[in-house]
Amino acid sequence: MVDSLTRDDLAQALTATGRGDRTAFRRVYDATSAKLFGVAVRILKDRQLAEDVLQDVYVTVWNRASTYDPARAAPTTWLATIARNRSIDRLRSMASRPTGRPLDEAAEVRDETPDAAARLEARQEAGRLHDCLQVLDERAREAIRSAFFEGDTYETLAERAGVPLGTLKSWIRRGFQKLKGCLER
Amino acid sequence: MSERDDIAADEAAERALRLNDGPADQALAARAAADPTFAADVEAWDERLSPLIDEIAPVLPPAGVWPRVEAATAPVPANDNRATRFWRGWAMASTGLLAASVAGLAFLIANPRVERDYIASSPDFQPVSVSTLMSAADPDMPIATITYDPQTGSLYVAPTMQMAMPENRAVTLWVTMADGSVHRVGVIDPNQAQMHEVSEEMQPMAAEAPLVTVSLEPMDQPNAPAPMGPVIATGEVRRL
Repeated sequence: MVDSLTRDDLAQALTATGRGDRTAFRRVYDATSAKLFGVAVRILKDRQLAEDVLQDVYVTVWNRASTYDPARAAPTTWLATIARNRSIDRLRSMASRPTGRPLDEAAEVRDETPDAAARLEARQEAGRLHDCLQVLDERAREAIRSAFFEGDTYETLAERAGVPLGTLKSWIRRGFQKLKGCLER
Repeated sequence: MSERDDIAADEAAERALRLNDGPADQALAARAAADPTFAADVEAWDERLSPLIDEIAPVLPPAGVWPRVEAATAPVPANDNRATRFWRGWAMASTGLLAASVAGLAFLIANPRVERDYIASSPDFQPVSVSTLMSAADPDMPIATITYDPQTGSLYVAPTMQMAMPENRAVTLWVTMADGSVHRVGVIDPNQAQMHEVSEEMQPMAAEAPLVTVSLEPMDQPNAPAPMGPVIATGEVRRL
């Protein structure tokens, strides 16, 4: 069951978690664990590994919630960044890419209940990012998306694209500048 | 914007996306920890890219995850400290299969004085590099100090906090080279200060490595070429 929280409710629950409020911590978990588990499954492509990472993510949230500042970051961004970084840490700590349950199969177990965290994201912002990504060169756009969703590195992306590392970096760095400029307009 | 500013902006985006691997990524993480301006730039990129999270389908986690989170973050007795909670957290966090082993955890105190006394009593030990291993779960929390003397191949490990050992896991030390390759140094004891003799094969790498890592490894895979279990701490190496 996914609890329904507004963005402000979630920020308050996270702040209360930082003060040691375990009820608030449970609210944060209920409202966001399906989304963060989705992030971990997407990057790790292995449910068991993703479970371990999810547990690690919330232990980290408990330990670091006192540093969360609602004025600096949306609660969903703060939480998703921890989940994404922890998943990538785990991915890169392994000798080789996991060969667990593939993404399509994992998606079959998706939570169909209303996703509070997703609702909290400003749709306008999502549309704006989407529009600005469309402005980029297709190669830069796909590389940035692949890095975000799969945790791919420059080296991996260059190898996949069959181009020198420097070329790939130039694509992406030009993409960063265009993206930032577009979002700030 | 100057060329230097452009590079800094690129690096903030690279850190947010984790485009670099190994030492390059660690260096950006260390910079974000030390430079509030750079950290704010990274956070700004996290925020810009965050709408992409909407494209990831939620997946309902198993019911067993929350009880493990709850146990790993449970309040500890007044005479315990944050460090105890950290290690109990890691014992739980390493894998759900380890949950049953938590009841068997034993906590010991490593007195930092031991480190000074030990080194003082070992005149042949002349360390030239040192690394403070910081917790992966809490980058502000040091868990051990490692010093290395390349002349003798002696590696000194001094835990700086209370620790617990999950069953069937070996606390394993690794070095990461500048080219990103990872090499196993060996198993360390998290419960007491200790001196190790690094193998001759490993000594050149131990002398040059810019990064050290500690992970919890399965006991039945003592010769794994790279960490298989969770990384619990990392540290940059400083030359004395």
